[in-house]
Amino acid sequence: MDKATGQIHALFVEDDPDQVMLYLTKFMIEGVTTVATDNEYDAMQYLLGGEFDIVLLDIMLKDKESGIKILKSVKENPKTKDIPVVMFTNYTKKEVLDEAARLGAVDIIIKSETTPKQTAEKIKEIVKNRHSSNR
Amino acid sequence: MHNLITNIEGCATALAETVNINLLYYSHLPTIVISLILGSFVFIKNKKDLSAKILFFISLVFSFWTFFDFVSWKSSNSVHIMFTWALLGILDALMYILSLYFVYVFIDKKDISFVKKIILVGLLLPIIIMTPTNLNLISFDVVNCWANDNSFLNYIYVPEIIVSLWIIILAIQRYIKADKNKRKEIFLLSTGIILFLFSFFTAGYLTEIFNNFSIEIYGLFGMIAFMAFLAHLIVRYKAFNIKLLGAQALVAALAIGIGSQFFFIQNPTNKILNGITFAISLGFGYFLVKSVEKVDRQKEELEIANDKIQKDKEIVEKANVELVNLDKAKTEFINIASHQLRTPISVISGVASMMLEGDIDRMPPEQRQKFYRSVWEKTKKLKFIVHDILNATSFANQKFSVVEETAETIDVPAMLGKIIGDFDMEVKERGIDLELHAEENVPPVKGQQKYLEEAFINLINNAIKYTPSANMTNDVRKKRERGERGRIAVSVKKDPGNPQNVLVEIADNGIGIPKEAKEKLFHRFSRAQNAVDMYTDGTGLGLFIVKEIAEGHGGKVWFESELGKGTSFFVNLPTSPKFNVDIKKRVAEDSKD
Repeated sequence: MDKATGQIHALFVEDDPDQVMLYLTKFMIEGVTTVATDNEYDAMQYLLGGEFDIVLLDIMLKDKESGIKILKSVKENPKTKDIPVVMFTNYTKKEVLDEAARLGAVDIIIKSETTPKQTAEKIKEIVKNRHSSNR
Repeated sequence: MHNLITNIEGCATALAETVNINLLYYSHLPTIVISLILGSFVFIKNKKDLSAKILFFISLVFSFWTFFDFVSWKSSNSVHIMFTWALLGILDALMYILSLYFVYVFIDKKDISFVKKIILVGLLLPIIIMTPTNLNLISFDVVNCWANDNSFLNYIYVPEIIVSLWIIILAIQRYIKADKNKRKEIFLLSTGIILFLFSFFTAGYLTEIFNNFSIEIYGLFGMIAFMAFLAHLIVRYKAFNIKLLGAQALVAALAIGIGSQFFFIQNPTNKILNGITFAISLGFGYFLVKSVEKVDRQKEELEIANDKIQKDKEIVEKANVELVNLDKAKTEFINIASHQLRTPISVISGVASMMLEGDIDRMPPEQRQKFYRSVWEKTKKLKFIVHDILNATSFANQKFSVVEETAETIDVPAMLGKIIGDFDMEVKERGIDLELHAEENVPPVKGQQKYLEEAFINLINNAIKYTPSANMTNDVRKKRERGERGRIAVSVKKDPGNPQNVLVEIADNGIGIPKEAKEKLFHRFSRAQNAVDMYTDGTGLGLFIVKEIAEGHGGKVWFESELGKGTSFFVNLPTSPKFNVDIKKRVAEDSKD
């Protein structure tokens, strides 16, 4: 988080361009600067190269990419394992969501059940709590 | 005349001195009966089986030998004695050679080679040549009432010894190679036959040595041993595929045994007693056999019932596994379908919420336009998915078929032109060329336009999804990076194979279909196996729906695909279809998959 401006930096892993456009726009309005990618390689490059407060991970990705796999990579890498990851998905299969929780996802947000504004607020809350608990 | 009488008297005296006449009956006649009964029984049950034929032949040869031997003992006529005696040697050797042949065919279940046959005939040949000459019998001994044989006749021991050793070696060789059950069969058969040949050989040899003819008689009991082993093989191992019960074999043996006593019982009282025993044994034997047969039948019925239960159980278990798999596929499908439904809803409701929050109003017009377009695209998608699910559900409940009365006349090229027009904006955005090539004078087809449109929209949608475009997907992007432009050609023409049919081809230069996906491509939930690892857009119902619609129009759908090069889907539609007729066939084919 940018201490001067209070801006939050989020990484959004998503393969649907419409959703990328929608959430990036609204998050920006809500004070969350967001970068989007649709694959594991780029996601890890972003996380290793820059300071991100939070990761929003879609689960069902095209081309054999999988949010669960990316979550594993993030949590296995000592440089990225402390970044909170929120599963942000429309996939509601219980076993998969349970696995995400087990692997260390801090929260699971079902897209169709929230508005972009509510999601942005949730992100801010998670990041804020994290900072206060770290202090 | 006087000489002849003297001769007969001399013979009778000689016979009485050398052997007990009753023993002669006992040793010769039942053995003939037993060997003939078993030999012909096996032969009648297996007329085409070579080993059964050989066995029958052995029993015949044995019977002749025994009968001739009996005549040579019993007869007082020098002509009869000389004739039967002369043939004993050849029959003897023949029995040995046939026994070897029998062992081969019984164990190997096939005929022996031509070379082996030549060798066997070769062994027999000297005896055949010798038989009519005085190398065989020299003269008739009037005093002893027997034939004086030539020492050349001892040649007979050559084939006897060779064949006996041959059988022993053969049996051991086959025994080592055989499995457990076959080993028992080989053991029983070879033991029986060796016992028979050995006793025959030994008795003949000892007769020569001690010059005591009565020893020869005991050799015949070897045949009984052989027959006993054979009967056991039949009862226990269903040899020759004959079903014979132990009780049946026992009663038969008992009857022959008791019956044969008539030959040497002299006392009339004993004869009557033996007759009573014989009748009682037969009577009880009959009932014993009947009751054992009944039990055996019940046992067989039970076995059949058991088999059926086992088979039914397997079928049920298999069906259970299939049900569990289908259930898994359905659950996975529901997970995917709900994801597919939620995704457009989340975009539509997300944009709507931003409208309410005033964000959209504050946007520059171009950005606003993008948001509206995303809502439009997602609405179309939602509509499409809902259609797919509803159709698939209805097709799964009842096979789709055009109803003749409500069938419309459809101009396929015009219909395809309209569909392609609707895709115009999407393909332009994605940078794909979508073209229609329509042959002139394509005849109209009968059917329901709404459904046919849906089928072709599905196919074109698929082609777009898997064809190089500006829009995502790594494999497709790679093609694009190589400078390949996405191209989808829809062509419609009269089917060259059958001008009565209309053939539509949707050909793309996309990524192609992987081998493992080809088989189940037209199945419901075909995509639903492992959604998290292999996710592609769509419900996995599209091609199932296309197949149902095409077949419901009396047509069919198939594809040709090369990985990395592209895919062509073909839809064949008859111009005057017979609807409904093949629904049963379609149901049957589906249940086979």
